[in-house]
Amino acid sequence: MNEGFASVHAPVAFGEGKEQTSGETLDAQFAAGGGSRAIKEVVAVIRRGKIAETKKALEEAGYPALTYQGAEGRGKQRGFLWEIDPQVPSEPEEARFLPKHVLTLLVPDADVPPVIEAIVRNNRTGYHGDGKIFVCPLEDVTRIRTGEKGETAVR
Amino acid sequence: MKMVRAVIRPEKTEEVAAALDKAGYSSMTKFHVFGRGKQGGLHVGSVHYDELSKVLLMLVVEDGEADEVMEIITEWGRTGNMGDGKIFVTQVDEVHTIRTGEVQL
Repeated sequence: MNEGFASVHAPVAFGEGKEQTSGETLDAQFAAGGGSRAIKEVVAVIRRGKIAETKKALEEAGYPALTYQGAEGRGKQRGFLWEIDPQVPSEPEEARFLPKHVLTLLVPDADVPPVIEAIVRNNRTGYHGDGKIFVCPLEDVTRIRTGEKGETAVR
Repeated sequence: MKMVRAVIRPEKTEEVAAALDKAGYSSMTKFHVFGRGKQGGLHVGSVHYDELSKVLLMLVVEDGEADEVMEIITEWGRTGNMGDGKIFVTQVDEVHTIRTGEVQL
């Protein structure tokens, strides 16, 4: 068991890693219909202040791996202040940006619906400004540590 | 749908955003990023600036609207000098609105 642990965790050269972690065998599997290598990028624009519970919910659902960054954004309402506080109905003369967080997850195709459900369930307030979720196709993913490609790199 | 991501000069952000808003594309997300292009940053005498401050605008629009959005960004973000930025267009499969749960733009 110790040996197995060492071989899994030993640093590997990039080219080497590809053979060891079975890029080729996986390709063969996929060709034989053994699985899908399709990966999706889920980009969610959400309210600041909802990030903690969203992270927690995603972790509980089994998707702890994510990236988020601060951003500013606006939607169809052009940055009305009642996006932040529904009690303040104000009509701006010009569009403005409001603070948001952008959350990015890479998941295999089959995991897209549960991820979306977790995000929607924890971010819906019912008021404008709850945000959008974009699902984008990805060509390929590489795990830098091992050089693994495709679906195995995001598991 | 298409995702349009444009890396532009920070000082052009307001003009570009206002022009897009006027043309009916008010929805967008703005990131402050650092980057460099083919020139590898900026050389001023002996001083070398490796990474320059840029703004990344992200918009998701219908397939047929991507060209118009790109034209607007190009028109308003251009100075003619190096460092005006790049525009990337990628495919988006699904869009969910969190407030309503709708699957559309």
